[in-house]
Amino acid sequence: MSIKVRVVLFLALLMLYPWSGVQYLRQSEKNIRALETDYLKDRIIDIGRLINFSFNSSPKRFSYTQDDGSSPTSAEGSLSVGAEGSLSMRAEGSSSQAEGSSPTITAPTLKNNALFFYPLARPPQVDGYSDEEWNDIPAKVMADQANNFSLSLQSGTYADQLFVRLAVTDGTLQRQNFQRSLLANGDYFAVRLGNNKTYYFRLLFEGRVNAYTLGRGDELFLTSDISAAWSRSSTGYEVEFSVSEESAAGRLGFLVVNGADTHNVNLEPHQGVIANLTLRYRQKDFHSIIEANNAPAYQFYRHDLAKIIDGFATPGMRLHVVDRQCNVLASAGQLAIANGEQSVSWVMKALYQRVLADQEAPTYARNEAFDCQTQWSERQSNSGVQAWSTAYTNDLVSYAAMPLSAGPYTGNFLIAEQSRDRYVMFTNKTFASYFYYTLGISLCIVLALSSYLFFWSWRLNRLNRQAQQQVDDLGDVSLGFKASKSADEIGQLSRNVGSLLEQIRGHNDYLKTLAQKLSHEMKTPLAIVSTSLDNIDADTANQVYLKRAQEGVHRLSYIMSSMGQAKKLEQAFAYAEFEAVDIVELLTKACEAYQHVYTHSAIVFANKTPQHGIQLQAASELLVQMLDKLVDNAVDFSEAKTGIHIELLQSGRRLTINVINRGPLLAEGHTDQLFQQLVSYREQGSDKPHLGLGLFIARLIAEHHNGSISASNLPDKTGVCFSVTLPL
Amino acid sequence: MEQKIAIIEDEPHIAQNYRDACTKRGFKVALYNNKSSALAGLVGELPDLVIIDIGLGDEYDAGFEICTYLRARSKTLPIVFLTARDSDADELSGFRLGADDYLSKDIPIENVMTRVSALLRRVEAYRELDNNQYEIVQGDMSLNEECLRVKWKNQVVDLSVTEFWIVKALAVRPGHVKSKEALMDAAKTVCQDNTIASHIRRIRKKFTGLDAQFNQIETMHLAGYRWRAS
Repeated sequence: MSIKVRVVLFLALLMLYPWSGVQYLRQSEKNIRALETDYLKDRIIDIGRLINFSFNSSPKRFSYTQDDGSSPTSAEGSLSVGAEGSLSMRAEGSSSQAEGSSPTITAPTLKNNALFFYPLARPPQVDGYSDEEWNDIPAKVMADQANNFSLSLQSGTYADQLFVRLAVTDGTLQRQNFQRSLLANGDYFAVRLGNNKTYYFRLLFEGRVNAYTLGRGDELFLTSDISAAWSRSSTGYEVEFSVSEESAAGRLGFLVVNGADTHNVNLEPHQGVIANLTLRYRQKDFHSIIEANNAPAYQFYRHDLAKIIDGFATPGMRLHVVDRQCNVLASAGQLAIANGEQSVSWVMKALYQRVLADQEAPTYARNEAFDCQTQWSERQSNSGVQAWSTAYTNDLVSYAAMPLSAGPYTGNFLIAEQSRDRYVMFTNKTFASYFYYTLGISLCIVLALSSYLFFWSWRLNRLNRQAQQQVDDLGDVSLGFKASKSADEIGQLSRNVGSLLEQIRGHNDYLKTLAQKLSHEMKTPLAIVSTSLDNIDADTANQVYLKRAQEGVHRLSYIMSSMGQAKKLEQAFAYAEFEAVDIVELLTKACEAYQHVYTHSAIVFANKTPQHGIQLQAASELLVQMLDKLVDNAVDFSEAKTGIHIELLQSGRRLTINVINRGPLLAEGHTDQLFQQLVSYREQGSDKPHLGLGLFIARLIAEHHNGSISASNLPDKTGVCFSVTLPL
Repeated sequence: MEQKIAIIEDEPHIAQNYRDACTKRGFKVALYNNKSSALAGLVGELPDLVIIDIGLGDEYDAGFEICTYLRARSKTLPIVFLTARDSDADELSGFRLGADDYLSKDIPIENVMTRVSALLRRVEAYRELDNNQYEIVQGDMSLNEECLRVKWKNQVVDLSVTEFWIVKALAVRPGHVKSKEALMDAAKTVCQDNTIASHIRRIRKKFTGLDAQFNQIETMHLAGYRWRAS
């Protein structure tokens, strides 16, 4: 692993720093959330007390006295709500019972038969056709499954008007016969109000329908207290009616009768009726008459209360007043904070979601209504002040609830919702500034450290390169190593390398000149010996010894001068003059000459260049001397009768002379050393001493011509090729 | 008349060996082992031949100084350098200062004596100026072996003894290739191939200095050299 890679890994550790910060932020976000919930609890107590106070100090302000919808009215003849959730009608009396006997039949009852009037944005037109205004109002479905008869109920309030819309699914719409005065000759519906009057509406012609009350003799009286309209729909028909709060007087009930066949008006009285009223059935003239007891009290959205609590709502906070049936009597405020989104860039948001948020991403545009059933209904058994937080749609919302003791709202609960928007924005901002600071600081550290370390690495690399450049392939150390002047460890290393290289160079120089020095120094003692020997007048008996001594001295003398040969050659370079030499002619002639000398080996020259003559600037004597050495070497190593091949090749501006012989291969890895001084891989025992100078001289000459020399085994491993490359 | 040879050599054993060899051949020898004693001893009558070592004791170039002094006194006095220093630069300096020959110390004493004799004979020959009986004429060149003198187109070529012998060996049989060994023998010297090459180079230079057209000495690669037949 290079230093650079390690540095990068090391710097990656710095990322732990922002990570730890993120962990801290996460923790503090949790804490803030908990704090927020506590804070909300405190606030709702304040708000609740203020509301309580405002109602209790002026109790007359609100004139309606509402009954709790679930408590049964104590009116005479009423039946208590029973058999919750069951819509099936069980006839306890039969249709054949005597007239006036007023048998009590369990009417279809609802889980909660009190209506709740939701706030309407605009007043819908009472025309029997569904309007957009109804879209936001929850529908309540009631069904008489036995008769494939159902309806969907929507109820709303605007100003002091109450609106009801009934979408009836009725496969067998039976219009009333207007010529008949009895109700029970087709479909009809009825509304019962707090004034204990029941208004009957006959489905005659689509559009507005008139209301009738039932007289004492069961005759129908037209009345204008209340208006309604109906229209056919694809699945049945739709009914709309409206009534003022004043005339409703706190109670509203309805019944819808799936009318009988025209020709069989003698209906089973209990069939095809949906109502939120307790009903009484009786028969007159073979027609059933349905009467209702007291209508259930309804609940409705209180615009006035909403205005009051609106004063307490702060951005990101919603306040609701709910009753025990989880009807929202009033709402104020908004969970979403306007322009909350713009203050955080999308980059930060994405980062926040990825890095920080351990839950789903918060949404800023939330308009969901308060889901009372989910959020509250199970908690209302606890009548104290509560605070909690919960995941709501895809955000966390804090809640606090407090029971009210304020006039008409006593027993209702004030609930506050606090969106996380506020502290999401807060943590987002914190996160953003933290992120930018950390990023900045981390970047600075990374930049500083990495540049410092890379600088170090660069210096080490440079030192490495420098040191490598000083030493050539043959182990020669050249001058010019520039040691660093810096005082640190790398500078020291550089200086040490410098002095080491200098020492090696000195040693190399010493070795190079050793032969020369030795040859020079030994010449004098050798001369003493040789001149002394020359002076001896030996007698015949000693002549042979004298001869031997002289021969030995000659041989020594030859060795001495050989050792100085390299030095001599360098001197020769000084005098050698470069001239235009025809290398082809030179090689041709040289080969002829070699052939005369080495009679046992065939020496073949092959010009493999396209030209017949190539002019080269060179010192021909030196070139020939180099060739002498190579050919001499090749002949010595060649197998008998295999011959020496000399090739001339040209590639671009370079000429290559190959001297090839068949014979023993070079040891791998020793090819460069071959060209060093005093290196010889010849086997001992030849007649003349080999000092390993021949190839060294060849190398010096090649280099003197700006060329190079190399040795390699032939690809087919049958011999050796020495190549001299010279620039043209 | 007994001829007198001065040997200036700081190595006593070599000096004595040379003295003995010379004495044996009938020469009178004076030995000097440093520059001052040599200069003092040579103030008066000059010897017939001087053999000088270049480095004398601590004086690195003493031999050259003595040579300069002697050459200034006599143009004809044969001066031979006998030294362990065999670099081309030293050899060239020696010839520039007017030496008649420059020998390496590892040369056999016999070869030194041959040169001494030849040089002394040349001095004799100079005295008999008109003596042309030893003249060998080869084309544009004439060689006088007694005077060790070569003339190219009637101009004297200033050659050392070794060079003269090399030229003679080549020129006597034009067209014949003389190997380096043969030339070494002829020049009565022991040296490396390079030395012969540098001798040849110097000889060519001396000829071309007089005649730029000179190209008589032909290099036969590996085999040796030959004198081009004109």
